[in-house]
Amino acid sequence: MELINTLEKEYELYGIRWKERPYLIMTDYGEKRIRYWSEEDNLNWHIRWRDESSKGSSAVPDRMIRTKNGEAAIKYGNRWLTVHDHTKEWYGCEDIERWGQFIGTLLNTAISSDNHDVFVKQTRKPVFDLNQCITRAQKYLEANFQCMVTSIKESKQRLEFSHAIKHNVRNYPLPVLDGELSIKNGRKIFHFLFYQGSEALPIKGYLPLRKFLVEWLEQTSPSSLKLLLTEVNKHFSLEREQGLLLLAEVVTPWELYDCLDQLDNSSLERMIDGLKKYEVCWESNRTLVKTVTEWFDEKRRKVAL
Amino acid sequence: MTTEKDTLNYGPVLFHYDLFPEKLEQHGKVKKVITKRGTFALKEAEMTEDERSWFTHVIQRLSEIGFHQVVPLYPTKFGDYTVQLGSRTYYLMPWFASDERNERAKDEVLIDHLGKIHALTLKEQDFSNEVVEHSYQYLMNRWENRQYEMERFTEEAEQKTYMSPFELTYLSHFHQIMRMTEEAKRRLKEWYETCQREKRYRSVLCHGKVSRNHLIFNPTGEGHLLNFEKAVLDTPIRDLAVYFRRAAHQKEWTPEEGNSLLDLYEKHVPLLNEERGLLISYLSYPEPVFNAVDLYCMKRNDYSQIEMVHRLESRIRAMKKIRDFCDAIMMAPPPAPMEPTDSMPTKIHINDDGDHI
Repeated sequence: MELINTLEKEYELYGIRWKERPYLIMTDYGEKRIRYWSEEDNLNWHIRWRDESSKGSSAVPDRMIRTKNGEAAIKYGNRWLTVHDHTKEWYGCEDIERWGQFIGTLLNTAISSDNHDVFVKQTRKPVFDLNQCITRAQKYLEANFQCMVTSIKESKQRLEFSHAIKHNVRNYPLPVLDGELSIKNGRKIFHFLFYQGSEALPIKGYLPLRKFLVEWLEQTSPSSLKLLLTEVNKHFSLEREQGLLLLAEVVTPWELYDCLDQLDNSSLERMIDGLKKYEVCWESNRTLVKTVTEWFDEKRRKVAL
Repeated sequence: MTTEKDTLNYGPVLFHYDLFPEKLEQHGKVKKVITKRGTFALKEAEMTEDERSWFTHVIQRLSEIGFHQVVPLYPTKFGDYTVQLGSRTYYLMPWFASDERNERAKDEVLIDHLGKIHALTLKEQDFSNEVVEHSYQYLMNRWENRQYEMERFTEEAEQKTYMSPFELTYLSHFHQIMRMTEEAKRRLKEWYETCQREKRYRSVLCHGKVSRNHLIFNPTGEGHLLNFEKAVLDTPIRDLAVYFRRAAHQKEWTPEEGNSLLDLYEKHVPLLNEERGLLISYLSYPEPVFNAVDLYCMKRNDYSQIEMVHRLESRIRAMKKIRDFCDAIMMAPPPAPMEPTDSMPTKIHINDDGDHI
């Protein structure tokens, strides 16, 4: 009750009651989500991207509802607390145009992050570790399993290609994105795309977008993914350095981690089963690389023509 | 009647206010939004990011300096005063039902409010020869070019064996129109020379789109101004000229009424001699007549001759009333000395782009 009282005191919200403790409340203005933040810098970063990426976009991120005093958050114990809109209805992947516009706007905001900001400077930039993968796959490589040998070889080539691209555009800024970019966070309110961001620490680079594209491909098709990239490109140019940085992240064999997670040495039967899953996982992820590189090739061809 | 399409179109905007519309009605450029939480007015506009922030700054600043007769803007649940969706900007205000009883007092309240805003924001500017020179040359060139276009139209009409009724009407008033144009130019030159000599000019916060439609009365009968989208720091004459030019087009408007309204305004801001001259200059320039000619040249197939002639005649009638009003302004006693103020404007745009005086 103490939290409910605080919310009623601080916010222009009425009839507050718990719906799902400690995250969901019902109010006279509908369902709201409470988010808790232990790090103030992370909170401020999340307030900023939500506010900025809502400007002009027909998609709306779950911005922080302001208090009576106009504050985006309140201090609660040793944490901060924010209140957001909430809905369960999924938006789905049919409206490619709307998603493309949202991602494009998001990238524009993400690229203009204040790089002198200490928090942004310290943001984690994930690095792919091929040696760690090789160590994990050592036994299988020694046994000369074809899928394993091929995938590791291809991973090496892709990683070299990725490094070469990154080296060429090393002086260009990387976006700083919400670490949990996902289709599942796209919800529907009044038929518009309402995007529920996370509380996760942000990530520097295109890895969150790569994960999003993998998810999109799983839910839709290669042609739909190409259409999505075309829509994003209308709002955030992927035809120059930023496109190359995205391509570099897409060709980096991040899926190798997931594939290796499928392996299980506990019995011969599980080992064979794990290898089959590994092969399926690897092949399905190759479609992403193929589709995205095809999209970039088609774009280049159009420019050349 | 609210359609599902309306709800879909305006839902994403009203979401920012946690409002669910039960009924939406179009009233001019405003949507009346009826919800369980009350009735609101939703205005749709086209504004750039700079215009949006200036607009909200103006509304907040007016309140800070003590002018509260502005229709307030409701903040969204995210603390913004406008909502931007695509190229459109929206803002929400309380809905005030129109009160016919107050219609007659509208002009007085409007001028009184305008005078108050101008008085609260009046500032004598540091003299900048460059700004004055640019403003003068810009307007003079524009006026001369328009005059040249009208002379050409006259010459072409005169060469015809059979003139149209519109052309005949125009030609019968041509010399008078040109006299007013020359008077406007002469007054503008005088203003320029006085500014050069006195090395002064004053600016105020101009509403930018003064109109009877932009004043509404709240349930207690208090008049409130709205639509500050085109607000700008400029000479007070900008708002006055827009108002009087519009007013002169009303059938029942008389120069005497104009005089008493100007007196009412001058209780707040007594005009300087050069400002009176500038007002006469702006009002004398027969832009509305020229616009009627433009319309005739460009859209003569969209309207009948009789409609075009009626439009022109109504503008010429208004021009005559304005001429009488200008004579009265010239005869008015010099303004009382001004008390110093330290209000906010820091820049001036005399007759900047978009000036529609």
